[in-house]
Amino acid sequence: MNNVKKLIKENYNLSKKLNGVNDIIFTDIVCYLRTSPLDEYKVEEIIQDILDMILTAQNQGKEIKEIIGEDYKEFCDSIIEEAKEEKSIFKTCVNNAPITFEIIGILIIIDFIFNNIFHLLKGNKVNLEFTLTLGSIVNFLITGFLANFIVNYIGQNSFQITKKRSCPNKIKDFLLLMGLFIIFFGVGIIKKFLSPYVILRTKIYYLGLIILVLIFLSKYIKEKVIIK
Amino acid sequence: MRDKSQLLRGTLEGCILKAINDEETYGYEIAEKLKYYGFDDLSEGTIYPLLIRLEKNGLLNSEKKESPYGPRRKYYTLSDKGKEELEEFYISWEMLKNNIDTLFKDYKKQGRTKNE
Repeated sequence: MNNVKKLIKENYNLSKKLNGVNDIIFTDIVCYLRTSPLDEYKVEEIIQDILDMILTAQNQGKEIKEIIGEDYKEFCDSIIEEAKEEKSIFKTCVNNAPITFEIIGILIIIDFIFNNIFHLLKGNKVNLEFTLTLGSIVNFLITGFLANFIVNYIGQNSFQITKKRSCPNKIKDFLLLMGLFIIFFGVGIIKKFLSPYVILRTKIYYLGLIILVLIFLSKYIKEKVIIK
Repeated sequence: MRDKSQLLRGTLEGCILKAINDEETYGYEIAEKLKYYGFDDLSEGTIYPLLIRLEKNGLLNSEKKESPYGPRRKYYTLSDKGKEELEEFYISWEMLKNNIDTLFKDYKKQGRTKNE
């Protein structure tokens, strides 16, 4: 796992050498590849190779088009086609477990903080109890899926989005923003409705313990268990 | 022009294997070598997916080395399986070439120019 982080950092540092146009194209390619079904480390290796190609072209004064063709998406698709591997469901679960644990940990902390903010605003003392309600769980699920969906959507459409940037559609953008606000408030209302259904109540120390366990599990899986 | 690239696609992997067989090399060099021998529609981007496939199928070994522009580069050599594949390719190619040449022995070129 440290290898992936190292490679990502290397790639990022090198990408600073890219000029304006090349940087935009490279970013699109990176977004598209990172949201594809390819394995994490393989993706970074491929990004490293593509970065080499683009930097070489840039230093020779050539355009990226000459090296990888006019259709960047097609180029990426042909790479994905060759590099993808069939992963069993078990492997996918194990590989995604660390980030799932991390997200759960973060959401629990946010939930706790927000509840306390409301408490404090009402003039009460800090609530040392953590209440997990059905509403919280629904909240977590919706937030998790939504975040995942948005990231994938932007990544898989990175080339089209860049093209459209040159002619922004104000109405569409406004509707999109309204949609997000509605979802945000909808989730809040759902949570309010489902808050009577308490799943568990625990003191903050136990919560801290749970979060530590999640962090530990996540790190352990990343170091020892990740299946390439 | 379309037909030419169809023809090329079937034999490109064999040509790449040959280019790597000559000496340990990397993507850009392979593309340049093939271009030098007349495959001028090629670029490093064209062959990159093929290199991935060849390595995935165990025909190539690779080693990362430092490169002048920064990112470490993959240098390829043929594995034993790759050498076998190269041999088989060339045998198939020779057979095909002979068959076609024989078939076209009595064919008179219609005198068309290269740019059709």
